[in-house]
This record gives sequence, structure tokens and C-alpha cells, in this order.
Amino acid sequence: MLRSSISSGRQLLSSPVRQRVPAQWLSKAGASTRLSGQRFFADAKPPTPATPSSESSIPRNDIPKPLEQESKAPSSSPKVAPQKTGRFRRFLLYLILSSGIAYGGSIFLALKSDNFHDFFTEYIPYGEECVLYFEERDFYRRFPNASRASNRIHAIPKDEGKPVTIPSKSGLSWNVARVEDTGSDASKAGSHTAAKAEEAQTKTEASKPEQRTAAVKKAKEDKANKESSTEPTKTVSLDEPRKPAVDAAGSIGLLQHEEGDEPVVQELVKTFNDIVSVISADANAGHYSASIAKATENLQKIGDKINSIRSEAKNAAEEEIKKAHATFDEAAQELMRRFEETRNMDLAQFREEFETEREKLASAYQEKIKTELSRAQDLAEQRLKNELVEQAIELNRKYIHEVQDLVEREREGRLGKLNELSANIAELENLTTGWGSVIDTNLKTQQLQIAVDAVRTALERAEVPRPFLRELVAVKELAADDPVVDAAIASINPTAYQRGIPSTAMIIERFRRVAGEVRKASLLPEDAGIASHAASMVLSKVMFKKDALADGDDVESILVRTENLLEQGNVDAAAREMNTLQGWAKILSKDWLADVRRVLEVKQALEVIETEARLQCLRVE
Amino acid sequence: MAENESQVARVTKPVSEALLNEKWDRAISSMIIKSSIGLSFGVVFSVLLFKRRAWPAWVGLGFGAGRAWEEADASFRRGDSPVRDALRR
Repeated sequence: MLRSSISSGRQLLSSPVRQRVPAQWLSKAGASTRLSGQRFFADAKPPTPATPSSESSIPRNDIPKPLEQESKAPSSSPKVAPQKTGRFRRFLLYLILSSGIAYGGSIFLALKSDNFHDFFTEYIPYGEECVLYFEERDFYRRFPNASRASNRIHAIPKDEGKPVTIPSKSGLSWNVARVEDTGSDASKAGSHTAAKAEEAQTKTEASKPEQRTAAVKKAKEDKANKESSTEPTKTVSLDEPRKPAVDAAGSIGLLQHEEGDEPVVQELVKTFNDIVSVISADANAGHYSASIAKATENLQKIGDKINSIRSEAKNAAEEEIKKAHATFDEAAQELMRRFEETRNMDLAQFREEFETEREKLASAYQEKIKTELSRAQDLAEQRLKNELVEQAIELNRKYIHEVQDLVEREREGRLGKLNELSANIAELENLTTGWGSVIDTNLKTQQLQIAVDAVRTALERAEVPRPFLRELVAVKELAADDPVVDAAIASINPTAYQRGIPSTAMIIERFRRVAGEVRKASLLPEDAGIASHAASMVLSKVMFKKDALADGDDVESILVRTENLLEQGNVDAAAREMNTLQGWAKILSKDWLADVRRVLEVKQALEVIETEARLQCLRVE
Repeated sequence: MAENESQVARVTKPVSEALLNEKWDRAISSMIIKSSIGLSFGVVFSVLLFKRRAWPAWVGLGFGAGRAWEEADASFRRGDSPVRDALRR
């Protein structure tokens, strides 16, 4: 500590003295500005040389501390290692805890605010994953069925795919219906086929009704077949009871009666046959044979009688039928006749009505035609009348035009010459007025030129810079709102015409003085003190003069070139040359430059005004 | 010398080319005045306190001259700033 403080103090003491002296000597010798800048830099930061001492002092302060700690813990190196690891562990624990808390807190914040969410996910490593994990957990807690819903969404298209398949037995074919009908009832089969047809509804609708009708037809046919099949069986069962009778009669002279269709006779024959069979079975059949023969004869007779009665009745009935036929025929004929009569009457009536209607219609149409014809005629007449009126108007107009034309022609013929005369006179008047304006403008431009000349002479003749305000005002008045002249006058610095400008001789004279001063200060560096000023003054007296044609950027050659240009009369180029000076030389020549600039401005403005006046002179024709 | 008259009429501040000359004038005058003041103080001190020894007078002269030098140096260093203001007026 002591050493460092002493060294810094020595630094402070030594630094200003060291800086001052070499700086001045350097500047005297014409040193560059960078050296002085470095000098200031060194002044600004004194600690650079002091760094070694400070560096050495800092470790000295630091080193004792660990030594002290070691001395406090009296044990040797094995004990130091656990302490270190313990500290390291604690540090690790704190690190993990703090980072965990930070991550947790930032995840919570990210879930709360969108801005922080963006920042966190973008810049913190693993931040996005953490936030995403928590967001997903939150989402599943809110919608536990979310995953199942996604499955259900997958299942739907499968159901949709099913209805496309068509059962193999659907469609239109007579074979299928018949096969099913054989097994079941006709009505059942009908309903069944209908159901089948309904199942196959997804097929073409056009085929549907045909199929149904086909099924119904088949059912009807099957019914008829069944009925026909049942009838023969019934007849068979009726025939059966007669067989034994035939057999009994066959044994002994049985009664045979073919034509006995009557049930009573049949019954009688049956009982008789039974009796006969009984008797024939008896041993003494011969006792009864006579009576039985009689009975059979009687029975035969009864049968014959019945037959005759039946035939009689049949005949009577046939006759009655014939009579009835005859009466029916008559009635029918009567009816036919009546129909004929009524029809004829109706026909005549309708014909009459038709005739009358036709006549009515014909008359109505004729009336209509007549009215239309009359209307058409009226229209045609009206149109014709209109056309006539139009033609009359047209003719009138034409006539009037012709009259007007004639009158005009006549007038032009006689009065046209007068018109020409008046036109000639107008032209002459125009010419005279034009010449008058030309003369006016000529006069104006001449006046302007004279005014400009006056300004110029006032400037050239003046021994002393005199204000030329009045001359300039005259120019402005004569220019009369010429924008070019106005602009030219506005470009002149007001001090120029208020105080006047120096002549060229004066400028040259003043330049000589300025050049002397500038030469004195030509060797000055920037920010030079009194010593360097004195040095520059003295040394500039001893300098060599340069040639006029030397081109260099130094002050001396610039001055020589400017002088040459001024002697040639090129003030503009001289001003440009002088403007390239730097530093003190420029400051010293500033007043002279301003004067020269004012002179140049005035000259330029005057030239512009003169050319404008000339241009106006040319523009008149 | 008509030009000079006009210049005088125009402004009280110097023309740009006469800027350094005026600075020199001021520097020299202040040098003389300050060094003489210092010398006189030194003489008085030597008479009053130091039994007429020579060195207090030299020290006083040095103080005065040094102060004048410092002022002149400063005026030359910041020489362009006031001049610029004057020119733009």
C-alpha cells in the first residue's frame, strides 16, 4: 500500500512538468498535431505506469486470507478437501434450488402472461418443453375424454363404408321367388318376397315395382295350382263308399240302378242291397227269392217312374225356358228400338244446336274482322295525314332556308367588300398597336441597360467603396417584376449595396497586406501557443520565395498562385485558390475573402441582368 | 487610408488580418506591465523583509513575466473562436 501511494504521488508530481516542456519544444519544431493529442491522452490516464505496483499490491491483500483460513482450520490437507466439497455441495444445492425456483416461477408466469411466455420459450433453454408439458397437463385435466374423442372420430368412416356392399340374393330374378314359395304358404311367400324387395331397395328403383308385381303374380298362380290339385282328391273320396255295394250286388242278383242319381233312391237301393246280401247269406234263401224278385221289380218300376217324371219335368222346364227366351228377345228388341229412337232424337237435337252455335261464332268473328279493318283503315289514314303534315313542314323549312340563302348571298355580294375593308383596318390597327408595344419594350430594355450601365460605372469609378443603392432601385423599377432580375438582385448580399464594394485595385492592395500576415502565420500548427507563434514569425522571414508555377498545398505556394491570378485579373479563381487555406491562414484571410465574394456576387448579378435585358430585346420580334 | 476610415466606421473589432498583431500588442504590453509589477513587489519585499537581498526582486520579476506568458499563451491558443464570432457578425 505504501509503495503504491508513493509511486502514484510521484507520478502526479512528475507528470505536468514532463508534459509541458516537450510539448512546447515539439510544437516549436513544427511537430504534428497527433503528438500533442497523445500528450493529452497521457495526462488523462495517469494510472498506466502505476499498474505494476497496484497489481502487486492486490494479490498481497488477497493472499493472506486463504492462509488465515487455513490456520483457523488446524487440520492438514485431508480436512481441507471435505470443507471444499461441502462448500461445493452447498453451492450446487443453492444453484439447483434457485434454478428450480426460477424455472418454476417463470413457467407459472409464462402460463399467466403471453409476453413472458414468448420471451421464455424463445430465450431460455428447455423453456419451451417445460411450458408445453405443463400446458398439455392442464389440457388433459380439463378434457379427460380428449384422447377417446379422437378414437371415435377414427371409427366413423368405417361405418360409412359398410352400406356399399350388396347382398348376393338381392336383385331381380324369378328363380329366387319360386324356390321360396315351394316351402311356404302363398301369402307368406308374397310378403317374404316383398320384404326381400325392400331389403334390396338400395338397388335401382325402376326394378322395384316390376319385382313386386312379379311376386304377386307368382303367388296367385300357385294358389290356383293348389286348388286344382285338391279337387281330384275330393272326388276320389266320394267314389269310395259305392264299391262295397257293387261287390254285394255281384254275389246274388243285386239291384243295379245306374240312372238313380237321387239321394233318396240311392239310399233305398243301398238298404235293399243290404237286405239282399243278408238274405243271400242266410241258408234258406229260396223262401224269399220270389218276394225279393217282386220287390226288385217294384223297385225297378219306381226307378223308371222317377226317371219318367224327371224327363217330363225336364221337358216342361225346357219349354218354359224357351218361352222365357222368346219374351226376353222381344223385350230386348223393344229396348233396342227405343234406344235407336232416343239416339236419333238426340242426334237431331245436337245437330241443330251445333248449327246455331256455328252461326253465332261465324257472326262474332265477322264482326271482329270488320272492327279491325275499320281500325286499320283509320290508322293508315292518320299516318298518311301525319306524313303530309311533316312534308309540309319540311317544305316550309326548305323554302325559308332558300330565302335566307338568297338574301345572304346577295348581302355578301354587296357588303362583303365592306367587311374586307373593316378587316384590313383592324389589321392595320393591330400592326400599329404592336409596333407601339415593340417600341415600348425597346424603350424599357434600353432604360434597363442604361440603368445597369449606371450601376457598373458607379462601381468602377468609385475610388472609395460607395453605396449604389439608388442605381439598383432604378434597375429594379425598370425591370418591373421580371423574375430573373428580381432573383439576381436578391442574390446580392445586402451589405454590398448598402456599403458598396471595393474595386479590383483595392482588393489587390489589401491582398498584399493579408498575404504578409498569412505568411507570418504560415508555419503555425493547430492550437499553437505564444512560443510557436513567435517561432513562426521569426522563421517565416527566413523562408525562400517560391515560383509562381509551383503546385503544392502549402501556404506559400497558394499565396503566390493567388497573387498571380489577381494580377491576371481573374478574381474568381483567386478567391477559389485562397479558400483552400487551412487553420490560422484561413482565419486571417477571412475578411478579404468575404469582400471578394461580395464583389463577385455583384458582378454576376449585373451580368445576369444585362443578359436578361438583351434577351428581352431579342424576344420582341 | 480611406479604406481604414470605412473600416473604423464599420466595426470596433479588428480586421481579420490584424488579429494576430493585436494579440501580440496585448501580449507585449501585459508582459511589460506584469513583470514590472512583480519586480516592484519583489523590491518592496526585499527591502522590508530580506535585508535588501537581490533574489526576491528576481523572483517577483519571474512571477510577473510567467503570469503574462501564460495569459498570452492562452489567448493565442483559443485565438480563432472570438475571431470567428466577430467575422460572422
